[in-house]
Amino acid sequence: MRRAGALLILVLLMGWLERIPPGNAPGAHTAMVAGLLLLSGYLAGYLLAAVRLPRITGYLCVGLLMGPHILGFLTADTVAELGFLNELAVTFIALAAGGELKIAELRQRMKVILMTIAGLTLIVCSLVALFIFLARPLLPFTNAFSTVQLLAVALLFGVLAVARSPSSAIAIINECRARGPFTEAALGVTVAMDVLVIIFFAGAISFCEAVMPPVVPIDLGFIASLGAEILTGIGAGLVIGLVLAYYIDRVQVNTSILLLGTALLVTYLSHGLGVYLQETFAVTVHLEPLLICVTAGFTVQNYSRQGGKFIEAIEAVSLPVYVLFFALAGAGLDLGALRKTWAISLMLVAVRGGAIFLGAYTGGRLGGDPPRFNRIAGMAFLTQAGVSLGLAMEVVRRFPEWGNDFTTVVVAVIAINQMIGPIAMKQALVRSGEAQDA
Amino acid sequence: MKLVVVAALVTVIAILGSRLSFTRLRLPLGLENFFLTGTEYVLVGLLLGSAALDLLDASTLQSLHPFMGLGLSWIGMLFGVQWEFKRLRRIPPPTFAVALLQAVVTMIAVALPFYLLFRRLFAYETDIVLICAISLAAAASDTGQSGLALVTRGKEIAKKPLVPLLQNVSNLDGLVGVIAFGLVSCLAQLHDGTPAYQWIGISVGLGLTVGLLMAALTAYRLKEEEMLLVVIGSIAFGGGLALYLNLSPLLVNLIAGAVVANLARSRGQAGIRSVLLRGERSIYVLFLILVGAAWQLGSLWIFLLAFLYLVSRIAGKLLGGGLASRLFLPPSLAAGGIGLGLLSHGGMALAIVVNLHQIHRSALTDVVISIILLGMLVSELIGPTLLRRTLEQNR
Repeated sequence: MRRAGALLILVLLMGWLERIPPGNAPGAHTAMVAGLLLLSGYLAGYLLAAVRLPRITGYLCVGLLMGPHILGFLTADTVAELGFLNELAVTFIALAAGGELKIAELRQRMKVILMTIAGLTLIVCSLVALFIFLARPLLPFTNAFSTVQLLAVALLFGVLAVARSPSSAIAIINECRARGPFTEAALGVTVAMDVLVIIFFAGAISFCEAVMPPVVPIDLGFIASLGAEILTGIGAGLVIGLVLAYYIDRVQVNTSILLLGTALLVTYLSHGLGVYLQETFAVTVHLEPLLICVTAGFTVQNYSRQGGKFIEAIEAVSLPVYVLFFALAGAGLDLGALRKTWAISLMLVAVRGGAIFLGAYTGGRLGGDPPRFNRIAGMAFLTQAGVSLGLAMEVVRRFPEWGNDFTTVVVAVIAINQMIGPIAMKQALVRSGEAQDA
Repeated sequence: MKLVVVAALVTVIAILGSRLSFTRLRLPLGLENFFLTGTEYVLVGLLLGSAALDLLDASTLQSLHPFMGLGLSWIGMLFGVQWEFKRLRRIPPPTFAVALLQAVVTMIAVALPFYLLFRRLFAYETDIVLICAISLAAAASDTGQSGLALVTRGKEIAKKPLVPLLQNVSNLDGLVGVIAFGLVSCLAQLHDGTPAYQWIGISVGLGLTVGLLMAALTAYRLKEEEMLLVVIGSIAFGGGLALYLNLSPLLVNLIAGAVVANLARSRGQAGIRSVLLRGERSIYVLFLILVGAAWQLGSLWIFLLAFLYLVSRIAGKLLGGGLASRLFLPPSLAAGGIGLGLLSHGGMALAIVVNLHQIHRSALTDVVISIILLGMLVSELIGPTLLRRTLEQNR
């Protein structure tokens, strides 16, 4: 009751503030909004937890409520200003995800993980692509496409449907304090697929470029450069992980701040290096910060004795990071896109969801998981965010004629999955019996 | 990109600095105090800023302003959580009178000449000149506690009866400065003509609201990370809100802190204090670096103004301390006055002028910052020696 009252006071205070002309102190609005999101997100998360919903759904709802589409306390500009917090959170959560992966446990679950990845990739990608192929009348921007071109676009939809949200997964796992074989496999699959989807996307977009005007022949060299980028990312992550482990072992102070700083630096340095190489040597190199941070976290956990302290330092500051990240994600949800494309988006969500259930069930069965896990496995893979959005933006960049229409549908689908995904995942962890704090 | 690299560099310096500084070094008393208070980070900031290396240039500093606001709010709340009535009741009543009188006299001694000087030297509206002069005076009234801690640590001199009085006075007079500045920040000139009393009410109301929110939220048994979130969220919200309205985040968070100190459950209070203290040093070092980087030394006239500031502050402290001793203290306690024992500059002085710079930016506020920084550098060097002399004369 007290928490609900506090949330109401915050909203009323902001409502009152909207009527007062602001002063001219730089950064005041940003600081205020960050504080508002932290407090109200935390409170909403707590209130939703009382009705057994995931806290991150509360953070998302608060962001949505305060964001540009409903109450308007955060404008699109404010969301953009706080973008650096978003980027920091994504890579920080990747560090956490890497740190949660333990080789010994993964090895035991390797067969299930590989089979689930195969099942999800093949079944989700093909069923979603097939749906898009058949639902052409609902996608006016595909009217002028030939069959092969439509197939290429359908494949892009299919690949993006495979992507999930490691940040949501890790946040829910932490919230539920879930531990066990089901959780380990769910996290392993989610993290691995986040990397794999980039490779699949590179293939799909090359196919698209090869069939769309102006036709660009398929350049198989991209596979080599992609391989080099992935290897470089893994190498960088390994080095960073070893440095972090050394620091935790020897220095032992302010580790949480160091990890936050590392996450931020990795994000900006990987982007900065790409820009620098492009501008200076006309070489396109895209280092994936998520891959670097997952590898770094994985290295600390598995190739040093500092895994426990590393996770402790992550958890000490993870709550504010999650609250801000998901509240900002909620504020950034594009309700306009959903309004425009709700019919096709809802169908796409349903098809993707069905395909995920089928893919996860098949993978789990082939991997030898018990039926009680297989029946609920699909629920753990519905979340979708970050990477899919980034990849969809790449489609806009490469195909400006129809990329925006394509992305509008993708964004709407992500908006729905972002809301239902965490709820489903929490249910999956609870039903698996591995959630200790549900 | 540059912003992130520089922010990372400054954070590393702040973290390492908070470990390395604030410790005793074998140096002459004044220099030891200089390093004990972390004042050297102002010079580090100056080196990183546009005056030297230009790593922290104007646009980078502009982007880091939210952190400056957060630092101000942090300092305000940390100051506020000390004001627990139960504890304050243990302080002898004359101490309050001494603190108030010497602070007010010092403020008058600084505000008056600088108001006249600023009016003559700068073509700003009367209200703006008044705001700057009073802010400078509010900063001047604050006394740092590090000098006293340094002089009395583990020594016979610590048993002198004047020591607890100086401790309490130097703690209390910061409140006078923050309140004076908080009231000045409500002047109509900064708020499109809306009457000051409304903004005073809003400042107090905001502080009470944020404090009550914190007290309510920490009434539950919170995990460590939840406590961290509540503290950071409240500080950012309260401070951001105050700055958004051109009010003082120092005052708003001070009020919030005082509410916490008196209304929050003891478990909540302890948790909040622990979070605030954990970040205190790093945030203070970060704050000093950013202030140093923003320091525009300007012309040589600044040194003259700083000298005048020092003279008027010392005169104010001597006069105020002497008057207060005579009126409120037994002759046996402070026959020679206490003014010379109150010359160390506190971090709150810096916070006040940075706050001024955030809500009103002009060449005049740059001058005020320069005066305070130069005044602070000198005060930290001479303060402890004069304090020791005062204590030695005390029987």
